[in-house]
Amino acid sequence: MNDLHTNRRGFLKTSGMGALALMLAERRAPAAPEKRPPNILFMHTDQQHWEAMSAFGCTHLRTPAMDRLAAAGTSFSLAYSANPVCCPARACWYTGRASQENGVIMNDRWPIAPDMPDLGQWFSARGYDAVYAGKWHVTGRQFMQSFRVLTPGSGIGELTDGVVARAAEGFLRSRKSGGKPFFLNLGFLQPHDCCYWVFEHHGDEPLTKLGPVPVPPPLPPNYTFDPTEPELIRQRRKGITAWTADQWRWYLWNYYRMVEMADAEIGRVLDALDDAGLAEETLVVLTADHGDGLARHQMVSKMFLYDEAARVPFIAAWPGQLQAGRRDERHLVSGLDVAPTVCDFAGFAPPPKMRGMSLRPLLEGRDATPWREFIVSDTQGTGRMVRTPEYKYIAYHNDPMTQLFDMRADPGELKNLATAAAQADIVRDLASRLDAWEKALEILPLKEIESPKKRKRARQS
Amino acid sequence: MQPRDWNALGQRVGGWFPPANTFDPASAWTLTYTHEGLTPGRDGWLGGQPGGSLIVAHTPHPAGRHIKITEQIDTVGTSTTTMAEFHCANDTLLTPRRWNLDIHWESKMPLVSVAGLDQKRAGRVENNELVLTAAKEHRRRAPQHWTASWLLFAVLPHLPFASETRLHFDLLEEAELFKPDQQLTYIGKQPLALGGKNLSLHVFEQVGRGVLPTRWWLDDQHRVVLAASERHAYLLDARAKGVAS
Repeated sequence: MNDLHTNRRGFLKTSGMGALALMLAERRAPAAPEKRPPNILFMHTDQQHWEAMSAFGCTHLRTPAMDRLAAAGTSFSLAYSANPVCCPARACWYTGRASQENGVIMNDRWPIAPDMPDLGQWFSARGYDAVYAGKWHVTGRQFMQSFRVLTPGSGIGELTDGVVARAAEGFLRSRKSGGKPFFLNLGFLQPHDCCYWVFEHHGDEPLTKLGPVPVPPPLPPNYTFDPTEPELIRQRRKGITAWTADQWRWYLWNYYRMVEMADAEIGRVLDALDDAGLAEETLVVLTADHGDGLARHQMVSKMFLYDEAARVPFIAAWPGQLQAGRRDERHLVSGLDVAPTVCDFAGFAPPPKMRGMSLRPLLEGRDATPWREFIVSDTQGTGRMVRTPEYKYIAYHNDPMTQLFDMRADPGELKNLATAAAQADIVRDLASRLDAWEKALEILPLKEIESPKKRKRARQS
Repeated sequence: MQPRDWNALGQRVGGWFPPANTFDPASAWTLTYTHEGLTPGRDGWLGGQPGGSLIVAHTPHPAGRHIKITEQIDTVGTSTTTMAEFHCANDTLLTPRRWNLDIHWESKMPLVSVAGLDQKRAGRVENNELVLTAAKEHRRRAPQHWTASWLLFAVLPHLPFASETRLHFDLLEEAELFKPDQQLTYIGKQPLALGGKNLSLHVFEQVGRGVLPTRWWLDDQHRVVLAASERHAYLLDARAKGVAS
């Protein structure tokens, strides 16, 4: 069946995000696991572009630790954040529910549904030692309510990612092989510090001169944009439109150093896992909450749906148990898949109404497993997208303009086909899929809380 | 690259003053630095407050140098103290020969649990290999030119203030993380407003893999006054006891 001609019934049947996924999830489990379940080590970087890894061919940085993990497991090339903004992306990981359902639609002001379980609570209640170190950033819930916390980290990756890795090292080296299984969750901040670089270079201020340093990376091939883009997207460039090509290249150079910093800390954790003899009993998952503009379309940061922001690295490895050194370039993967995947490996059902799918069949090489034909990602800041293996369709909030990209012919997303007569059927079909996806969600009435920034301003005044 | 976000340091930098005592890089000395976050506080996160301290104690020996490090890093919920001792060669980079680390954790919040996180580490150079020991031994080929990140506070005071001064080396950050291809270059004397005083300091710039560009600011006596990268700085604490003893 051609996925672009799937009707609503077909959508529910094949997307794997609706009733079928729920039914399967609830039918499987909770049979007693035959052997001790694996430890889970879930690590995430913050704002890492999906290609920013030497294992994926990027020559502007070296990431030996991430490369090592990619060599030990499966990396998914078509992995997408469920919502490419910090808090929402994280809430989607931990609840397995779409942003409109878990309540965290944007950063800081929209809290998580109070009764919706998160992975920390779910794993703790099922015999795991659920432990956290680093950045959490899920509005409305302290991670102490869900995890045993080693260190909360801080808002500066440069200062505290090392502390997070050291805490994880100490934790892992003190564990005994075969002991109580753990779900260790590490939230690294780098390369998110690039946001501060952007703030510092906002406006027309000339670039601070560096001394004699190596040659910065060249500009990317899609360092341009469609001038007819929706206003919401153009606003995302506010403050950086005056950047020169040199300024962009220095941004890239700095960004790659920040990824290398995160990589070194990940290496420290992987070494500890090996030293403690735990590697063969631990499923390791590494991903990022969202990507970064990285000069593509002359953008920085996140909160938009071009691939540079919405697409993320996603690697899973379990030595001796799962396929090693595999690059999956076919299957569409979502941040919503984290919860059903780790629960599947742990041997118990995930929380109800998961919107994602367990990646276990793919990681075990069962490629004939029926898989979804599209995924949805959305951000309150700009709009929503439907991604199939061939196309990406973006619908914007409060703007009638839409975008359609042929992702195979135009991976840089430069040529909008949405108004091309020849693509009208495709646009219609993808729009109907988006509509069906949204109608299938159990939308949570939104409750906005006062932002910490506003509270601070009020105090100061 | 300049530590531009000084607002984040607030009143602390306003009260800062440069050390007045003499400093001889070749003698025994102890310098204390404060960790400064160069980002305004946000949503309860650590901002431009002190984030801990670093004490570097340098002792010359006929066969090399002995350097003791005590670094405390404070985050919202924890405080981590690393005590390290390095026995180093008497060369430009103070290349470490053997070292050990003690890492101690303290919780600053009731629900933050640090039990069991304390660790010990050791390392040595043996037959041109770095031997790093935690629970197991890890060996890797020793780079031709390398040093440990903390030792730069003792390396820089020995470098001439000359435009041709440029070092290429690999870095072992915290005596554990390998960060290759570092370049340290003297870029001249530059003004710096600090604590309401206009200083003129000698600047070295460090760039390399896995680190953010860092500027090292030294006074005329070759003492490191400030090491500032993008979001983090070490600032000499002139009020500390034995600033240069």
